[in-house]
Amino acid sequence: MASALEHYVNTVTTLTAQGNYNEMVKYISKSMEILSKNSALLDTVLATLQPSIHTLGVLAVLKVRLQHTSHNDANIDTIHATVAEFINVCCQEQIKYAPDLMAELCESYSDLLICGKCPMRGLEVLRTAIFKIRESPYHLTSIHSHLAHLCLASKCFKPALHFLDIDLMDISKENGYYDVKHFLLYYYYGGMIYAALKKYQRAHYFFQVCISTPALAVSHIMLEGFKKFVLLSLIIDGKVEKIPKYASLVVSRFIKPLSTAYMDLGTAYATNNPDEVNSVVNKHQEVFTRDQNMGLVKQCVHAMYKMNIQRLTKTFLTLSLADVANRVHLGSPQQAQKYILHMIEDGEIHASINQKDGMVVFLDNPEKYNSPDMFGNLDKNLQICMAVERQIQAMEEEIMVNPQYVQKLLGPQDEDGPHSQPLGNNSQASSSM
Amino acid sequence: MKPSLVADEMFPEGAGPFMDLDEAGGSCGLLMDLTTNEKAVHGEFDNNFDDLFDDDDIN
Repeated sequence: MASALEHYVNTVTTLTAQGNYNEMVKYISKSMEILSKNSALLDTVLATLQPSIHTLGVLAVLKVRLQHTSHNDANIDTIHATVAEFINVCCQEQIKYAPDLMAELCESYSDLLICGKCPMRGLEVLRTAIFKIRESPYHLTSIHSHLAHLCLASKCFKPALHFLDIDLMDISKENGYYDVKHFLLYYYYGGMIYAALKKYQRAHYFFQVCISTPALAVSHIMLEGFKKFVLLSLIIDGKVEKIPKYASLVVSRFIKPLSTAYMDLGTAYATNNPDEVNSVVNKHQEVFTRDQNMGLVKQCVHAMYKMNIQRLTKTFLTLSLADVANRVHLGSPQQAQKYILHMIEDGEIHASINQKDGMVVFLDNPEKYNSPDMFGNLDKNLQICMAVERQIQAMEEEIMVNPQYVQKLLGPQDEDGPHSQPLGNNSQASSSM
Repeated sequence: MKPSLVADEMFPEGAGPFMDLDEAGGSCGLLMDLTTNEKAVHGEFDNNFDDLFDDDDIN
């Protein structure tokens, strides 16, 4: 082993024994160049140090090792095994001193698996990494976006759902490593996962967060998020939902005009006429296919037929299947029956079909809201609302006592005199009038 | 004078230039990386997963 690396191993061992992790972080950041220069010998260093004890030292070596590994490398199996073992046994206390290094390691590891076309291998590893690095279950880390990326690439969505289902409240800064791209990717990839699982409401929310991110430049992630946001709002509401007021002007000024095919679809959708919608779909088929959104566009068309059937339930008590097919522009009574059966199955309508005469009877909702199950459901939702309210109160209190906020609140008074009182302080406002 | 950030109704066209950029990213202030002079960013992000939403083959 080169003497520089021997010195590295000795220093890491000594500082770890002393428990001097602050000094260790400074030392390993200074040693990156030496490690890079000796990249061919890093496996020997890894064999000497113990990941569970010398976590920070091994982390730095692994980070450099990954930077010098290509996806064509025959050692990709060994690298994967080494990273997996490290993340499994590494010391959580030490990781907290260098979350940026850990995040960088996970990003390089994720990129390697994507390029090596074996993304599924990393799912469990990144899950463990998130558990180790996050400050609380409600903190978003950059690793969340890599996990969602691997899930999409491997078409195995379940490992990400545990994290996606949590409503996050804060972001781990990771010593400045966290970037807006991680945030956008998390919500974009998360939205895609939910949309693939047909959890459209949650997918719509994720894309909404994505397009509402403060921005002064057009992000391609936001652009793609906007297209999917439009399609999901058609599936859920039957119309293009307005862009939230708090979204940046970039969305309405630049991103919307870049999505004309989707806006055209929204305009046709508003007519409730399947022929017009199909004509727009055919016209822009190339765009939708290129954007890999054709599947969602098809879901939009299906959703329109369903909404049109649902409208019939408000007017008619009974209809023949042929009549239903005719009124909603479906090709045959068989198709109408298929749609109605799916809708009954999903609880979207209440109806029965008489196979003898081919008649559909639309029924009232049998739910009387007086069962123990319904009460339990109501109680569960009330608990969620109360928890959200408690959380909002706690966050508000935290902001109210934040010195920066207080300074800002009082700032204009000092600079511009009493006429620029902040809104919401009635006594001060009235005294200045 | 630097305008204060107030209710949404004040900005029917969106917050735009009136948004206090320090506050826009929430407590962490992490989300303002898009305030660059570049016209478009993130062009290289991975968005190639085939069409995950087409279930015609399932039917």
